[in-house]
Amino acid sequence: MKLIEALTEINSAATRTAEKQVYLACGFTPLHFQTFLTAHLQKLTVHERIVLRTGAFDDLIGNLDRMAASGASLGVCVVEWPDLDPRLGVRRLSSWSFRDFDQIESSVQVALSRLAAGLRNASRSLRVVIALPTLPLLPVAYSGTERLGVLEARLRSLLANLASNLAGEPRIVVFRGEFTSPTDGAFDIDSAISTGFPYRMAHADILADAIAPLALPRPRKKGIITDLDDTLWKGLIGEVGPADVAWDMEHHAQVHGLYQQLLHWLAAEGVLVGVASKNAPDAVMKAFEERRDLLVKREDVFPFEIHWNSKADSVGRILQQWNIAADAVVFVDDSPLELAEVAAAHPGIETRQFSAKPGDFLHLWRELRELFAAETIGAEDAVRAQSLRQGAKLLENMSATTNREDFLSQLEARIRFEFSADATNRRALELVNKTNQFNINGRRFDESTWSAMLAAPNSFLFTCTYEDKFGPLGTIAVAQGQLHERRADLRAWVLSCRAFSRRIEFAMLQELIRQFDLEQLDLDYHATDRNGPVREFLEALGLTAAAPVRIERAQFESTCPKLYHAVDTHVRLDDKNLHPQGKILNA
Amino acid sequence: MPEIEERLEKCFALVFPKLRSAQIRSASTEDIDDWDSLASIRLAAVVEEEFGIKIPADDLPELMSFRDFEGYVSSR
Repeated sequence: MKLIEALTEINSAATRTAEKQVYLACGFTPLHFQTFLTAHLQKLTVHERIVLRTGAFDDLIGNLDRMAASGASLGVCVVEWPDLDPRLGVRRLSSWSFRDFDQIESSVQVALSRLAAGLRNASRSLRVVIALPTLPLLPVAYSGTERLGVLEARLRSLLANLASNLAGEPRIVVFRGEFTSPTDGAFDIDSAISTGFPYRMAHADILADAIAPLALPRPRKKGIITDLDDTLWKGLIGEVGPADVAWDMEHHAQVHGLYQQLLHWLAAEGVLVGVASKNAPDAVMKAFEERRDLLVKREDVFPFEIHWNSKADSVGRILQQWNIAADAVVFVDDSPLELAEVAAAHPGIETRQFSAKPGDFLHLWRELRELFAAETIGAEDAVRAQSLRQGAKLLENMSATTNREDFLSQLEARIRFEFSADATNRRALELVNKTNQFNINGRRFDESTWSAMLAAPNSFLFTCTYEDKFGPLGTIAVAQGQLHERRADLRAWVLSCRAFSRRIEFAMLQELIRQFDLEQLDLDYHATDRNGPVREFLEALGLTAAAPVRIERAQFESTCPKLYHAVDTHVRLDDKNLHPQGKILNA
Repeated sequence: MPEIEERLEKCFALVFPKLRSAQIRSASTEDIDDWDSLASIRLAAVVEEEFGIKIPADDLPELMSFRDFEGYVSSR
């Protein structure tokens, strides 16, 4: 992006009324980096105007304190060598020599400790992305410019240690970028001396472009649907047979093996993996059962759509089984024709062509890693595919059982409810931010807004974990609300589509009413394109699905169907979250 | 000259989006509050990009108005 394009991007959003406050903490003059970062963040923002504030020159640690108090929802911290010791920059002169290396190392160590403390403090109130030095160290070493000098080796070790400590911290995102830029093209010494801005224009743009998606990540894709012949393996299985399709070096098919390995990783990380292939089902299933060297296992895949009919229809059925929208899915095939057909039939789906050329495959590998990037992998992710299979079994059982009440009563359903004000429950916020169907308003919350909501007096987080005879579903529902006498407001309430048809939403309301002895529940309901299941639920309670929605206790009790769950409730609310009357009821 | 004026106007509009078109051609550091030293550097960078020229930092103090920039660009 050129500077002119960046300013045009920023100015194009000037009339938006909603703002996203971002704080940039750096020790250098932010100048064009500020412009590029604003522009790249703006490109990723649909409705809001990015307002990026900065702090004082040459005071990185102070700027982190300012960031923490800024009220911004997002922070970006960019560190360069002079922030760690001014002797490592070009603006401060002093007569030091190699005899001072130990002292410089000590001062960098102290600066990094202060930096870590400042970042941890800021991350209590906002999400922070940190970039460690991207510019090369100045040629200070007596050992020359190409050989790694002792000082630089020690400093890099300190930086790596800091990065390793911070990478696992909640709400701190460490930019992976090389700590040194490989060429001198990144550093503008003229500008560093005259204005305090150390980057060449292109470096400022590249760095901002790389950091912006870390600051405002796209929602993670949930599923991948793959073709088989000349994609998952080399060869047409219907022609050569299960024994002769290949994915190894010996058969010049290594990239297919690498692709299988990637799919196996994704499945383990909770990504849904489905197969859509125009093929002979017997041959394919034989390969999955008998080829022990297959790297993607049969249990990694659900469902298989293998026949000679349209792939667009296959993809449609897989989306239905997964109960997710096309825009949460990636379809991979070696045929451009199939990709075009699927893209036309399922708007929003991401399609990628598989190529057996290693360079092209590496590009696809990187792209898929980005599309399925997750900040953490939890136990919930591991059970997702398993619970979908169970859901399919459950649907089969439901259709086989004529009496729905008999069916539900024999499910052996167990629910664990938990009330807390725990803003660090990442699964809860993740579920709220990715659930579209049973979601009362479709609203997304950033971490700082979510923390503030839960820090408010009388706020609560209500989570629900479910299990039945078909297996565990994990944490599948979350509500966030606030108590007012014998009334509660729910600002967020979601139920994973994997847990539909089990009356869990009724059980949640019943528990909320019981726990806080409520007479009324107000839902911050807004109809969205996708939250039809909430509308149906409200209609089942005899309510009109139009804001504002108030559920009266008497009405709920008279319309709630029979519930068969065994319920286990845990309350972890402290004093400030107590019921306004000063007690937690039935705790 | 008219072409330079128009392109310079575009540069000024990008850096000072609140300025009306009529104000731009008479703009100077004295009457635009937002025109501080950082805005000068940003404006010079935009003009460099638009006209493919290099404006050394030492020349910046001479560029205090729209007309200064116009004369500077014309002489390159």
